[in-house]
Amino acid sequence: MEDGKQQVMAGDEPIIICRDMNKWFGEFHVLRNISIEVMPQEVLVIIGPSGSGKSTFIRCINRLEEHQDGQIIVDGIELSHDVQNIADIRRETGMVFQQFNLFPHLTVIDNITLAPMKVRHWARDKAEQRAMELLERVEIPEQAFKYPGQLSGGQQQRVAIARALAMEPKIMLFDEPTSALDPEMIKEVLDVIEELARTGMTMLVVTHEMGFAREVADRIIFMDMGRIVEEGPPENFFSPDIEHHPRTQEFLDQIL
Amino acid sequence: MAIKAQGQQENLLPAMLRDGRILQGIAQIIFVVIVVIVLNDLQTRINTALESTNQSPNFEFLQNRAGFAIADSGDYSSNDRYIDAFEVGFINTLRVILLGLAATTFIGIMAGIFLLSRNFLLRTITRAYVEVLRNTPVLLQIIAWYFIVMLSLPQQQESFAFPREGVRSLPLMQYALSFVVIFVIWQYGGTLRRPAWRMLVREAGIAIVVLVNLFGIVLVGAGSPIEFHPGIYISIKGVAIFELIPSSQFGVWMVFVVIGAVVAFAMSRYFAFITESTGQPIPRTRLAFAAFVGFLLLGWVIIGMRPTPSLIPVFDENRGEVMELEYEDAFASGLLTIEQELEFTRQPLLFRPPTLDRRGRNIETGIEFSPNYLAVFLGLVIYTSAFIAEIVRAGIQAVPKGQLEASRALGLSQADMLRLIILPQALRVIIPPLGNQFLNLSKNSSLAIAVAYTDIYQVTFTIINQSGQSVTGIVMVMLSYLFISLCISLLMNMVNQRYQLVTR
Repeated sequence: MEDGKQQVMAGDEPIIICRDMNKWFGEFHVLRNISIEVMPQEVLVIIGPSGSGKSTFIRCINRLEEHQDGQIIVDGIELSHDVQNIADIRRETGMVFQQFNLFPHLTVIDNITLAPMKVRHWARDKAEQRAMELLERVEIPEQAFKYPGQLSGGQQQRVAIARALAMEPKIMLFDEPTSALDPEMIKEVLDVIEELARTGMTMLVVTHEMGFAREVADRIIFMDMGRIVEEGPPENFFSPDIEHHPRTQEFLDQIL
Repeated sequence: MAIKAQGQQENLLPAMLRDGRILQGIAQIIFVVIVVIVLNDLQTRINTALESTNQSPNFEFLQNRAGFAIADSGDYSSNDRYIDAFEVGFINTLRVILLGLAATTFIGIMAGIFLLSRNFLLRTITRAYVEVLRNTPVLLQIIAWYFIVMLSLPQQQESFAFPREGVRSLPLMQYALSFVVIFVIWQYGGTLRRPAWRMLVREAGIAIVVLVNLFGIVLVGAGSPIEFHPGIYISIKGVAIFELIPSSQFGVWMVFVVIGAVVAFAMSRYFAFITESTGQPIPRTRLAFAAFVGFLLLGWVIIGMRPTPSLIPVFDENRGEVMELEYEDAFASGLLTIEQELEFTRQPLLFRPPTLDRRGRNIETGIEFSPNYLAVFLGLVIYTSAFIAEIVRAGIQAVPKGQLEASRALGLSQADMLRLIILPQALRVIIPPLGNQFLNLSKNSSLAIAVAYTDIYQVTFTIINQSGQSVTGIVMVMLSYLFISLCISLLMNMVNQRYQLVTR
């Protein structure tokens, strides 16, 4: 309503809008004219070869990376150099990293309650109660008072998901959440993400797990060389009957 | 079968002597015996050598008259005993170490943060500072401070004094008002949503107020005459600063200080509890600090209102007689002795500016730092701060980038990120090497001998030369440094334990 911030009703309007977004790392053009809209409750899976700009793309959405050209509007708030807008957007988006990035000097429960208490100004009781609910949801309530270093990779990543959810975000960003995990722990993390998708959370997931992508995605986008090469529903994307862009076909031939 | 047969073939020693634990025990016993024999022999040789010159080590000589003067020595004189001279040296060493550790830590941390600054100029200048200091010998630096900096200061008669002596007119009302205006501007600026506007309003507003005052433009109220005394003298004889002497009212004021501290602590805990249970953010440290300062001022004001005798007996040297003067006049006359001032003042602390004697040669009152002390102090502090800067920089950089990204993604503010995420993780890397630098500084203080600062090493050296008691002297210096080093280690270990990480 003011300062370029317009509240949008959930449901019909997209919650994330990118228009002609461009980004360079020095001379290297990482993102080229990315334009995409994500609807509330949509699960968008982003796949592509490494170095194609998928991670950079979702890191732009909560301003961990700065885009140089074009527009990003998240939940009606435009991302610019306005620090207040950045803070508002970060409050509404949760992020899960490839390397978990838990705080090693805090217990699991303190990891989860920190942001709600400091950013949302919740009372400790409320934050801890919420944290325990989330730990139940990711099925490790018994680990609440351990330190991250005492947990397995899969458990750490589930704590990281609980930590992001504790801020009650409208959007969740997953940056290759299973890439640093042992094969047998991948499933426990994917189960949690799948369950989350069923509850109607808006999610952007960068992943290499094609089975999971097919299962959970409402829409898949394929990126290469900083461009969105192809997008569509998973049943089309993985269908051998549909004619794909040659680059997509090449990628699919290699992994399937 | 084959293995067993082979084992039996080589079985020449009894089983006991093939047991690794027993073999180790025997080796250790042999080693201890050798060490004891060598040490014993050494001691006999030293004793006979010293006895032949009639100098067998003892502690009785410490009671003898020292017979040499020491600069930087307070009320010590050459008629005092050796042990008194030694004590002066020990205290002088502590003066360098204690003040030095505080100063070098502060400068080192600032420089470490500057090394990581995004400001190119600041970062580069600090980098140059660190590299130059880190890569030249500390002895050279101490000597440079003494011969280049200290000896080029002005003569005592033309010493640099700040502020200049005299009466000046200051618009006190306007100063008080300026603080209020700055506070209002700051608060108003905080309500602006656009960061550009926020910065512009705050910085420009404050700059205008400060500049108006700096250029002496008087807009509000009249100036009131204020008497200025120099708070600091800098000359070739060193630096002299004002002293604050506890007066007869100091005890009463301390009661306010203690109550203030207790109230501030209680407030801080109470507000922490409120924040925990309701989530409402309260700037509890600031409020507690304000309460503490409030109590200090309240105490000062209340003591200022105490009844005082209306007439004070004053001895006038020129007339050679005692006069009864009104309270205000007595203080204004400048004839009161320091004891009388301390007795009758309405202030808990008496400010005594540094003053020169009549010929303008020597400092009469105030705390004095000799150029020798300053050379050692500055040399050690600046040299060590360069190492501490690197330790702090490395400690902060040792926190993985992912930690910052996770904090940002969660929406933590810059200040919370620094306080809750970066510092706890950086400190555990910083503290152990920081302790090493503290030990380095305290041991390097023995380089004071290069600029003839009378520290423990220099004084003991003189004692040894005069008495010939080299063994006793060196042992005493060793024990003193050992004592200081162990205290520092103990302290650092306690701090270290506090920040140890319980991850694995």
